[in-house]
Parts: sequence; structure tokens; C-alpha cells
Amino acid sequence: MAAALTDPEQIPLEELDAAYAAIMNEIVATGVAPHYAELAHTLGVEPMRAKSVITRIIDLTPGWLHPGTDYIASFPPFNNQPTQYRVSVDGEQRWFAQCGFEALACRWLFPGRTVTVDAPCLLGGDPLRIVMRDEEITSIDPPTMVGYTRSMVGGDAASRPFR
Amino acid sequence: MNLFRSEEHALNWEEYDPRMAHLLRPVEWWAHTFASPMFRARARSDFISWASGPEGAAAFGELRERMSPPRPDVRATTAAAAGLSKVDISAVDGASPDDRSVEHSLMRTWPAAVPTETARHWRNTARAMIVAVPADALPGADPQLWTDTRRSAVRDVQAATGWLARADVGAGDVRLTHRLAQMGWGGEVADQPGWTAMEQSARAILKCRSLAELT
Repeated sequence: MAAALTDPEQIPLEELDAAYAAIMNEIVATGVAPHYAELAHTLGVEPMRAKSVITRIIDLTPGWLHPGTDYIASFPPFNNQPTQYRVSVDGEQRWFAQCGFEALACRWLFPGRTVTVDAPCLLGGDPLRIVMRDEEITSIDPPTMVGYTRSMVGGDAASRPFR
Repeated sequence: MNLFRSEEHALNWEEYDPRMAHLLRPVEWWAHTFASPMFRARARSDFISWASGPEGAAAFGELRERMSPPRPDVRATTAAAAGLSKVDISAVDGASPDDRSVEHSLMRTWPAAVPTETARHWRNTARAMIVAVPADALPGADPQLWTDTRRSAVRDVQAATGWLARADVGAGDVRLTHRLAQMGWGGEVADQPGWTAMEQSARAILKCRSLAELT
């Protein structure tokens, strides 16, 4: 076990890079974000150090922990907590997107594979489906589909993507 | 940040806010937006370093610019610039083109952080100030001084922004706007590249202003 608990703001970028990649790789592989104790094992650090690293990464990215817990709730483009944006890769549904827009960015984590987003319309619940593969959007059903947000993308913490 | 069956469905959503109508877009537009480097880079092994550096700042700036609301046309006059800028440019009255003490004095009035809104005022000011100095010297002005100073100002903006500034930049030219907006985001301390660029841009503005005073 290497480094001990420190102030999250003092954690070196290299360590944050490694932790971010480890979390992202785990979600891409399994659809689920690791707990900090699991991440600690992957990184070879003490669990409390891994907890600080997660805290810092969440501060630096538009994700969040579930309020009052140490659980990663959102790690864009994915969501650890299920949302209405179901993401399938080569036909297997294992992932959830943070929001309708981030769902469109999931494809960059699955190069060369077919990514499908299924969601209900917020007004009426009609099914929506988008199929993508790398640069290509192969299907939008219905073709009249639009995206809308009442919050600024990349805005402050109070501006959540479900708006 | 949701998807709807059609524009009509989004407009009838109970949480629809007309103030954000500019972000009601076809899903293809959003797919293109979320194809920016900011989203592709998440697969990098050094994503946090990348996102914290100038490339990440530029990518995020481009993203914000793409999603910013439409802006009213800015009239290219000194008065318009003064009205748009939150900086009291009257502080530079009487300055000579090379009076750096005035620049430093003005710098001290700026906030340490440069939020996007401030950057927006600055880029409008820079644009308006440059345009406020016509290519042709006003009657009574030394034509050589006029030309040299104007070119110098343009070069400063060019150096500061990496943008190929033209002496005949028009008020509708959005490229400088775009570049300055990129640099404005995330500029938090004086040693940030964005801050340095802002300072250089300010010098160009001051030169233009000074030239206006000379005339």
C-alpha cells in the first residue's frame, strides 16, 4: 500500500489520471462504477486514499456522489444509478447514460461497436431509439427527435442534467 | 438534458423554459455537439491532465460557445465598448501607446479570476476597440503613427489569440470572439495562459484607445 490519506486538492494529476481511467474502464467493462474500497485494490492504495481520489475526480468532472454517501452516482457519460437512458453495446443492455446528451457521447468509449440508446419521451412516454457506431449515427427513431435542456451544459453543481 | 419525440413534445414539456429555447435542437445537432474533443478524450489514460490543461480548456470553451445564446449585434464604437466592458476604461485617458504603468494600474482593478461573462465583455471590447480605429487615418492624424499603431494593436491581438487578425476585422467577425471566449474559461490565476492572453489583448485595446485620444 502506497500513499496515505491526503487533502484531495493535493493529489497529483498522474494519480487522478490513473484513477479516472480505472473507474472508466470498470464501467465500460461491467456497467457499474467501483466502490472506493474496490478502486483502492486496483490502484494499490489505502481505501481512504482511494476515497479522496474519487472525491477530487468528482470535483473536477460533471459527475456526482449520491448525496450523503460515498457511492458514485454519476460518472459521465455513464450513470451508476439507473436513468431512463438505457445504453446497449452490440445488443447487450448493461449501461445507463447520465442524460440524453451524454448518451450520445457513450459511443466514444466503445470504438468500433454498435451503441444503441433507448429512452422514453418525457412527454407521453413514446419510445425513442438512437443507433450509433463511432462517427456514424445510423438510426434516429423517430426522425423528428430533438434534444432540449433548461440547464446550462457544464454549469454549476445545482444545475443537474435531468433538467 | 433530455430527448423528446419532436419539437412540439419538448415545447409542451411542463419544465420547458423559453429562456433556453436556443438549446432546443435536432438530435443530430446534439450528437455533433457531444462529439467534441471534450467527450472523445474520456478514453484517454491521462484525461484529468488533459482536461485541466490548455487543450481541455479550449475544448470546453468551444463547447460553451456552441451552446451560448445568440448575441445581439455589437455596434463597433468606443461608446459601445465602454458600455459593454465592466472595466473602467476611462482609467486610460491620456495614456500613450507604450505607457505600461497605465496597463498595470488597470490590471489591478481586474478580478483575479476571469469568468466567462467577463471574457465576453472583454472580447466585445477588443472587437469594438479595433474596429473603432478605422484603417484610414482621421484628418489631422499622423498617417504613419496611425498605421503603425493600428498594426501593432492587431499584431498584439494576433499574438494573444493565435488568431490571424486582420486590420479590416469587422464587427460581425466572430473568430476573435470565439478565441477569446475559449481563453476566458477557467482562467483563475495570473499565470494561466488565458490570463496572459487577456493581458496582451488589453494592451492592444489600450493602444487603440490611446490612439483615439491622440486624434
